[in-house]
Amino acid sequence: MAVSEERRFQALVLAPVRRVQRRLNAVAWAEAGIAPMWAAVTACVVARLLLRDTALWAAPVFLLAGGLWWGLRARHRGVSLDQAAVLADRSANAGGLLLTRLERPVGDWELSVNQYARAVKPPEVRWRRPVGALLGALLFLVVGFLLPLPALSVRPINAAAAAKVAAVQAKAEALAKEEPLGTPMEEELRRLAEEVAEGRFDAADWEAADGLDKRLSERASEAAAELAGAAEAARELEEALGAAGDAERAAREREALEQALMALNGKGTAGENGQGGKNGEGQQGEQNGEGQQGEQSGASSNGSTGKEGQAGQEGQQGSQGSRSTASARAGGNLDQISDLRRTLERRQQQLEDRFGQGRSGQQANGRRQSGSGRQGQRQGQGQGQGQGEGEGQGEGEGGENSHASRGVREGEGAGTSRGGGSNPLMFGGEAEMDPNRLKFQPLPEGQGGEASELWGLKAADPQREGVTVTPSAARGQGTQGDATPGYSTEPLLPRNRDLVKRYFGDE
Amino acid sequence: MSELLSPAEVQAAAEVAAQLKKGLNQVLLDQEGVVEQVVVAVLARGHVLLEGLPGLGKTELCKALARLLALPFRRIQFTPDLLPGDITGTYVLEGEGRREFTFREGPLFASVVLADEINRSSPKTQSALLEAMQERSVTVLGQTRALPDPFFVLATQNPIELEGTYPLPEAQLDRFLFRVLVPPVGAKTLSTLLTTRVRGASPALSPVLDAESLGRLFAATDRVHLPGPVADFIGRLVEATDSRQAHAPDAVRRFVRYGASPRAALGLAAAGRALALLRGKPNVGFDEILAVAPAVLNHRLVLAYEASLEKVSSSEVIRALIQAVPEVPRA
Repeated sequence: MAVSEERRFQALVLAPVRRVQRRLNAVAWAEAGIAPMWAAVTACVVARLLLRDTALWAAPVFLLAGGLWWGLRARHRGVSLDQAAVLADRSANAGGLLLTRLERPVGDWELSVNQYARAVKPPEVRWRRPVGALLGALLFLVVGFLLPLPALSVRPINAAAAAKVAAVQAKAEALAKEEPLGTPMEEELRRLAEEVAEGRFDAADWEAADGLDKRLSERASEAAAELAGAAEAARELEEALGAAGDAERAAREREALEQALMALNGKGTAGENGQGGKNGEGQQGEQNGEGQQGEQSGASSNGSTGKEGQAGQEGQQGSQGSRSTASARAGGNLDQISDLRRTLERRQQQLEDRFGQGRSGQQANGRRQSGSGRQGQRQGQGQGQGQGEGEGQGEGEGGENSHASRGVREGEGAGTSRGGGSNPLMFGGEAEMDPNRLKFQPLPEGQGGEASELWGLKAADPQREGVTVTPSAARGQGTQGDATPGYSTEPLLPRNRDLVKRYFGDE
Repeated sequence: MSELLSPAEVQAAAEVAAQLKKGLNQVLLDQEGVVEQVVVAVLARGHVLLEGLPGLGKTELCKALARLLALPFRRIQFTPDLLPGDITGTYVLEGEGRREFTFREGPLFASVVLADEINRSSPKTQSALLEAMQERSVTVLGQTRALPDPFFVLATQNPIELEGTYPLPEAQLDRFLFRVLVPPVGAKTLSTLLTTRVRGASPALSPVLDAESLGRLFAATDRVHLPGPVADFIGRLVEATDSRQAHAPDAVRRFVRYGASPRAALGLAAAGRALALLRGKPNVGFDEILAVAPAVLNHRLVLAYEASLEKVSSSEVIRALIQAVPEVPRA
């Protein structure tokens, strides 16, 4: 095709067809842009309402997106050249000749083609609607960006909510010093604080704050309970340590006393035992000097009557009763030590009397004298009522575990008084050791069988807790006061076994 | 690509076609539409099924066409006892001395064949036309024989008196380019007929075309340009006759069971070319397609039962189809 023909073709045939195409495309593109433009403009205006000044940065994004959408729609709705040629051909009543000319040279038909091309009329398009819609969108955008926005209203912070959150935070901080709160609780606290700060504290946040407060309180109470328990345990441990120290010290002391007593026993004579046995062991009464009656003479101190003894003992019994009760309550080693100490003193006194002054050595020094029976320990059942002056009536009767005749009464310078009964005091000669006394006897069934539970030990230590002494059948009688052997349920310490053996002999 | 027809060539072809039309119009009075369709079918080398009441001149039209074209003409009267061999030809034993089978050509061996009352023969005989109409050849005892070129079948059928008839099968109908409905004539036409013809005899016609000039006319028809948008329109039009298509019109969806075949599209294009040439155009336009579409499609649409219930004809469906399918495809 020659250049001139090509130019003629472009100018005469293609130009009217392209005019038709442009006109149709303009309307099609305008219609395709209605929805994207309105969407983008609406997004821009909404963004300005929400973001205010930041919307200036977001608006181009929305407009660009709308433009892309518009382009895609327009691309699909665009009118092609063939379609425009058909419309041009129909508008010129060319009968397909223009279409043929666009596809191939028509030769002699060119003149007809030109005539038809000139007759091409632009199609009637309805452009008002799409153009109006686009202009409306543009106007909406302008108005949306030019209208002044109302000032931002700052939402007041809920004071009650802030106070609540602050209280919960304070509680959480206090609890956090004792134990970690945990990530969820910290996050919840942080969220609540943010809600309060941003003024969005609503009912759900109130519930969350209450729940958090409750959880913190529960955890605080649990921690307090644990602290109290720990303090109690520490105190108990301290007491246990103190008690262990006291027990140890008391055990040492008692051991020393027992050793001293054993040493004294080694020096003692058989009369010791003999006297004790004849004078009714187990009836020795401890008597304090201050409660004794001074009017009792040495003659009368023979113990002729038990009444005297009883009368003179009333104050002593009271004191003894109270002490014995205390000792029994203590039930510990202190009482035993004191008993041992007193036993030791009495033993020493007895030895002095025996070896230093002879049998005539009845002293009127008002010192107490006790029976020599080793087993005559009372256990504090005396219910003395008189105090000190000796006017009261000393009831020398014990309880269920005491001997009624233990109220040994001593007058001044008197000998041993054997209270209780009306029997005259029997003064025998030098005490003789009963060989069968310490004879081995098997323990009752169920009471052990170990060396620590030997019968003799309990007899030697009758005031120990748990020792059961069967009351003597003779109450206040001057009969043989054999004490019923008692026994203890507590085992003897191993370190005392040698001591016991030495004390009681090989048996 | 062949060169576009020059205006002179188009004009010459149009003049010949006009002479043909003029001659046919002398025979069939006041039926210009029918005559034009027949001429278009001839230029497109297609077969025509003329359908109308008896006495409307269908047979006379066919005989006039044969005379005008100066082509061999045979008429076959389809009867129920007609056999395929009766129309295709058969072998006969003949000769003296050593006698042998010789093929005797049937009436199909003519350029213009008039199949009168085609629906009165059995389907067996009707089917003997299938190969002849499509392949333009006849096969007898395994031997295929070509039919003369050009070869036209002009068939007639009576839409009434269907007792003892055999409707044409769809495959047979599809081989006809046009089904031309011959309308009744008016009183004026009848008056002219009574005054110009003695005992109804047709006027004497002289041939206007010989075989050579007819060949040139066919070549000119083939050179008529079919633009792409028009071809696209033909495709969309035929596609829209399929009721299963998404963009088929409602009328097609409701009343059409089976749509047109690709042969219909070919027929539309060929008929469009012929009509464009007849109208003196070197190319096919939308108007030519729209003009020939009813005649091409009306016997190719298989209507559904709903159409017969609502008394909807194929012409109405085609009218709705043409209105629904735009010349410019919508975006």
